[in-house]
Amino acid sequence: MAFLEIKNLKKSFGKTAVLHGIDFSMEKGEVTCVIGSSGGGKTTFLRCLNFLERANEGTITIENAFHFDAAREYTAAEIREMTLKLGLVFQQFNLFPQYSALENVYIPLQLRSKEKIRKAVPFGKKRREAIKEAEKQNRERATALLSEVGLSEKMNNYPCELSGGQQQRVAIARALAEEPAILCFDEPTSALDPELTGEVLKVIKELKNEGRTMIVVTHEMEFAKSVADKVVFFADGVIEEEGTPEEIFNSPRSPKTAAFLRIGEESF
Amino acid sequence: MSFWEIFKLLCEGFSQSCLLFLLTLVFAIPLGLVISFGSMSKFKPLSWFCRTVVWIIRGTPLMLQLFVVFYVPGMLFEIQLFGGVNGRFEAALLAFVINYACYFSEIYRGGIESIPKGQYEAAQVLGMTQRETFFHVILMQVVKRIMAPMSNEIITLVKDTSLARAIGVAEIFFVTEMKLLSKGLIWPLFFIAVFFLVFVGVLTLLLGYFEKKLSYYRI
Amino acid sequence: MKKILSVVLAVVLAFGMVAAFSSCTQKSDWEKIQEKGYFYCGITLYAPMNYYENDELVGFDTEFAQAVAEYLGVEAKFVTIKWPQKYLELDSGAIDAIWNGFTYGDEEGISRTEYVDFTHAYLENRQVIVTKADKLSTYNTKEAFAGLKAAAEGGSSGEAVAKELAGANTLVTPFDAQSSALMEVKSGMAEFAVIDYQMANAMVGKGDYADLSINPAYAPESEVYAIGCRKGSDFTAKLNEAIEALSENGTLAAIAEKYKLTNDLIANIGSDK
Repeated sequence: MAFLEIKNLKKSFGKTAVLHGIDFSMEKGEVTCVIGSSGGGKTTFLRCLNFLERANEGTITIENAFHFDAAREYTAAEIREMTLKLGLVFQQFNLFPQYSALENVYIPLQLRSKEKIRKAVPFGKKRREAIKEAEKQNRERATALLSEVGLSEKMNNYPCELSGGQQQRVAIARALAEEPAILCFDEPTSALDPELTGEVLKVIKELKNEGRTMIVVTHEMEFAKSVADKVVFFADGVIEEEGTPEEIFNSPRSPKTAAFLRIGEESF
Repeated sequence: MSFWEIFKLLCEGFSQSCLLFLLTLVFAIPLGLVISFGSMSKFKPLSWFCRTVVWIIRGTPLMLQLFVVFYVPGMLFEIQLFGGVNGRFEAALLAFVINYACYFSEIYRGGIESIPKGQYEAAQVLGMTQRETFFHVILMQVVKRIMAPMSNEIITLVKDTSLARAIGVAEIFFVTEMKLLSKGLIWPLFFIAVFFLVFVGVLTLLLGYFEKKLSYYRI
Repeated sequence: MKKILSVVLAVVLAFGMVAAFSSCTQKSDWEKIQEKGYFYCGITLYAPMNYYENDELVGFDTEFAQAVAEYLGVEAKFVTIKWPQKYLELDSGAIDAIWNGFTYGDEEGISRTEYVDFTHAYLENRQVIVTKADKLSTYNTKEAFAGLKAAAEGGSSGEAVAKELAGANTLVTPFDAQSSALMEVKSGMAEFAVIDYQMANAMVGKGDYADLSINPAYAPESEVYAIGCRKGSDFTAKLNEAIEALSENGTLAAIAEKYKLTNDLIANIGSDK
């Protein structure tokens, strides 16, 4: 079985069906780029995968261990556990404005550590010590992550003091903190000025080189070509075509894919 | 009456006004949050109930609510929830807390609903519980957003305390009316103005300080 | 969390309801007063009935109530109320008696016996007109007051007289207390006020009201003061019992003398019944 296995995923909002049964799989360490025109269901697909939307039908299996079946009821805690297996970087960054870059990375991390400690150590001095220890470790980890995305200078700045590219890099560091099995990007550069997209794409490339498993919804065709192991083309709520970048960009089989890529090229 | 006697009298009255003001804030600020959760609840009967209460409380004069709280329990059920001298203060406090909690709840609701969905989603994908999301992510942003309208309400409350005289709470106006105006003394009224101006002035500085404290980030 | 909150809210409400209804008792007023150990008199502040002297509440009604309380073995407490709200205060149980120069008579054309049970009358009174002293010669007939702005205590017998004199209800401004009516005349906002003789006698023409005077141009019929209790209350009978005893043993006369009210005190209260 593949590292990520999605079967017959369906989602509709009211009477509008957005995903008409998506079958998708990928292996560990792979980078998949999802392309397609707006309204094709790319973002909904990603949101279903991260449980921001609940799929109406279908199953999601990660690492053979975490299994989601839309037909079943899940408690909030179960959903949370599955969510932690995945990281998501938003188009609009969604950093917490009241926290500095470091705190943005550190606070969610520390909250999870605290939860684990509370379960393991019931109360008392031991627990306080454990929390203190976790605090130190998590701060170090947050600092390391921010250095990794090239922001060691800006650690104590607030989001409003950072450029879009810097904010998105903080968001990436934050998403990496929980060691997600799969890191998802929802059009990570669409909200950025053109001159700032480079720094974010560079970070994603570095992550690929580290061997991370990623799904990137993107409009940057050049980037998709250079970074993707597999390109998936979404159209009208189904996967119209998937293959290696060479296959998709050089010899698309579907006329829809060809049409989409042509329009894309003309506009550049 | 000597100046000092009158000054002492005014101070006593004003201390009642201040106490009413402070206790109203202490109780109404958290109660408002509970009501705002109630009116935003997905459990329809509760949200319907809370919104109706808010509608009634905001839609009727505070003066009337004071009368209802103080006089109605005794007249309908023959029980003295609030009898005598001190009970008047408690009755006024109850009416003020309910009234202001309803106003606060609407300010909170506006603040909470104005937080972008992305903040909740970011918290969710980071594995935060609903509780953690509210207390670690949303609350501080709401506080910043509602500072201006809350400051307004709080300053209005300072002056609204004088309404408590309607049920005979010995606050500054009641004292002045009953003990000083009745003796033909007008000038204490100017003193009342000074009391209120100074109090609101201090409050304005305090609220401004908080606002400044929160200005390190932009939403 | 919202679910927990909704449950908490529901529980609080339910408790409130239960508390409100379960504490209903069938005890009589007098039993309740005995249990509490005190009763509340609703007053407004004016001389000579209830007023402050050196931070202490004194006055004829003050001492009278204290004497009655002592006789009954309880304590008298006083609370300043807004006079127009006196029946609300009484009916809601916030006070136990209206004891503040309360005139036995009509209010707005309705007999006050509709609202309260009166005890025996204890003091003679009448309404008097107060104007500025320098206007005494201008307003020297009953007719001279027609069309003038007037002030009176809302819901007092003086208000009725003022309306009759001014000739139009809209000319009479009702106030929370008799003393406020005097303020109006002093400040020139009203040409005349109609208040109790007892109060006018004690306050007008001296101190802050030195420039005011009782205007003898018109003297309404005399009236009497009595204490108002809740309708159907057994407290009325207890008060009457005390008043009769205090009248007989001279306590009441002594208090009256102290406040120079001897001439107006009704003698041998209750003996004719």
